[in-house]
Amino acid sequence: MPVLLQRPGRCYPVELARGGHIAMAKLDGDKPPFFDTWPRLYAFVAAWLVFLIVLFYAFTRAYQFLP
Amino acid sequence: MRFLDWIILVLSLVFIVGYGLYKGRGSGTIQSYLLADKSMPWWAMGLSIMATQASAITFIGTTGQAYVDGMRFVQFYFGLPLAMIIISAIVVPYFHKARVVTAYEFLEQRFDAKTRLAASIIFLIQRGLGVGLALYAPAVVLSVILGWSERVTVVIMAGVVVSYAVPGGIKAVTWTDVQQMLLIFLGIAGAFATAVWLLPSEVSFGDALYLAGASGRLNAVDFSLDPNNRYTVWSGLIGGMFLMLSYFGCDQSQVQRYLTGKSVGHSRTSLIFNAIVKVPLQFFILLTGTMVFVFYQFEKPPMLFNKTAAARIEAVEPGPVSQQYQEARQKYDQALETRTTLAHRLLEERRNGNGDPAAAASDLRAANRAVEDARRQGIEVLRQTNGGRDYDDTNYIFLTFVTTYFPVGAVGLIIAAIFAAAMSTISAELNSLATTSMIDIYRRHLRRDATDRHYVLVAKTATVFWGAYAAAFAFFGGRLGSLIEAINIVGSLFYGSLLGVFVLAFGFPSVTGTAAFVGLIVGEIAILLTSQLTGISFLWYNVVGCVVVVVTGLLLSRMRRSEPRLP
Repeated sequence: MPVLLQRPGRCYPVELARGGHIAMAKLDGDKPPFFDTWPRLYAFVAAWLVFLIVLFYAFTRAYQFLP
Repeated sequence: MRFLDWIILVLSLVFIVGYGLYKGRGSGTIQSYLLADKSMPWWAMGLSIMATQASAITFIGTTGQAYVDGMRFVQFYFGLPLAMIIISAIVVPYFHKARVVTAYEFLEQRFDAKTRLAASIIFLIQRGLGVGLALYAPAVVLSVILGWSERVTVVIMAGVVVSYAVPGGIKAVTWTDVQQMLLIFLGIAGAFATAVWLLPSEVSFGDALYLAGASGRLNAVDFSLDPNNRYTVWSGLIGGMFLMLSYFGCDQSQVQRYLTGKSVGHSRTSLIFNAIVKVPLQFFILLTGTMVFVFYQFEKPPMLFNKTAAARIEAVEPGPVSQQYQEARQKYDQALETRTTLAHRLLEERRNGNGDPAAAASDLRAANRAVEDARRQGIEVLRQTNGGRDYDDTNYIFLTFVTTYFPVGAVGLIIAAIFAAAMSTISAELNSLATTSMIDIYRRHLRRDATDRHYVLVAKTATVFWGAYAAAFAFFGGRLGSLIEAINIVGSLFYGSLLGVFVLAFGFPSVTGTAAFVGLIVGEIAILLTSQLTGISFLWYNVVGCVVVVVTGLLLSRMRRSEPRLP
């Protein structure tokens, strides 16, 4: 029967939280393709989604044949 | 299938196995077998992620969906780019930094062993059912359409996948996914081009779009706020985003793809690649299905696309049932003739620039409804002969079209693409099931101090086990009957609560392990109650489950903090 480890009250590990920041800092040097920073790439993806929805909406309207 | 089609199919299978074995060489350590030594470039991971998500049923079912219901299914994917941004920005750096092999391993680092075990078991149940269906569903369709034995199809698919996934591990799975995804791209492009080419010579692509629009099949976007309407912009953006967050952020079959990245940047880029390509790709697949619909405005489609079911009802001895069926057929044939006449009239009016397009479109829609009514009548007669079991032939539409009208060679390409779609999903799922079984169950709870060689052997054995399990599920799938649908629904009930636990892990430092564990259980109960007691679309289950887990986890943690401490 497996023994389950119980660690009551265990919260956010400090090293992991700190590690997260380290990873973020390192990523500044790990640039995304075509963009200077990751937030700019994310903004582009969000804009791309908006563009697609608008395009599909125009497509839907163009062939709707409402009287 | 003719000789050239067979050559294309066999060569593609042989190439995939050979390529998988070649690329999977030297996978002798856990790090190599399960994480490809973290050496994968972003484009390989990106294609692998896409191939894992694109099952055979996604390919043949989505085109059928467009034929029956139009383009609105594309909205289901609107939440994907948003989910990719969130996972890329928040989840990927944490997983990389935590140096985990599975997503659930991270839950023990953050919470405790029981939360990790619960999440692992939920994944094994859910994905275990999923891999069985991923093998069974295309096997049934291929056996009916091509007249192959269902069991032979299952054995070929499972055998091919196991033959490269077991020795080569994730390297073999990822690199074959790349080839398979390229084959799928080629298959989709070929299917679309051939569908347009097969249209009558006087019908241009513009005419085809015009007809599809007039028939209400180009309904790609719907802003209505009705929560019972399954596919709207809102259900896609919100419900779809939660579903995709769960699938790409908490499901090991996807997490393991991007954990093989050379760096956090490569993993992130692979996800962003998906965010950019996936929605247009789905639009394109749906448009192919719409072209099939337009094609059948001028050619007579079968009333029942499942040949076996059609043969069964036609073999019924003369009597009231047979007479009802013949009446439905006559009605169907007449409705088709009327529809074709109206389609020609609509295009003629378009070319001449006269008439009332809205009125002509309204007539065409009425004719389409008449065709559907006659078809439903035929299906109702069929149901009487098979004990009232539901009949749905959406998955048979595209393949019927391909095998009936496509030229030699093109059929082989499409069947090869469908095999590729099935195998890419199955291989990733077997790989992830084996990884979770070994890392989260075996190494964590049964044997903690063995050698790498031992663990690789266990992972290989687990892959064989899950492959055999999937094949067994597929062998007996026919006997499960309507249970298959129930299993499919059950599979979609787990994601929301899993996502909730990960949201607690990433976003709320004060939440304890026990609070997260109880939240997981309460969230699961909430999803089950929602599915049983309300009629809301399944896309919203994930939102409900996630919110309940997060709220429960936060409340329990707060209550625990406010308890007076014993001296």
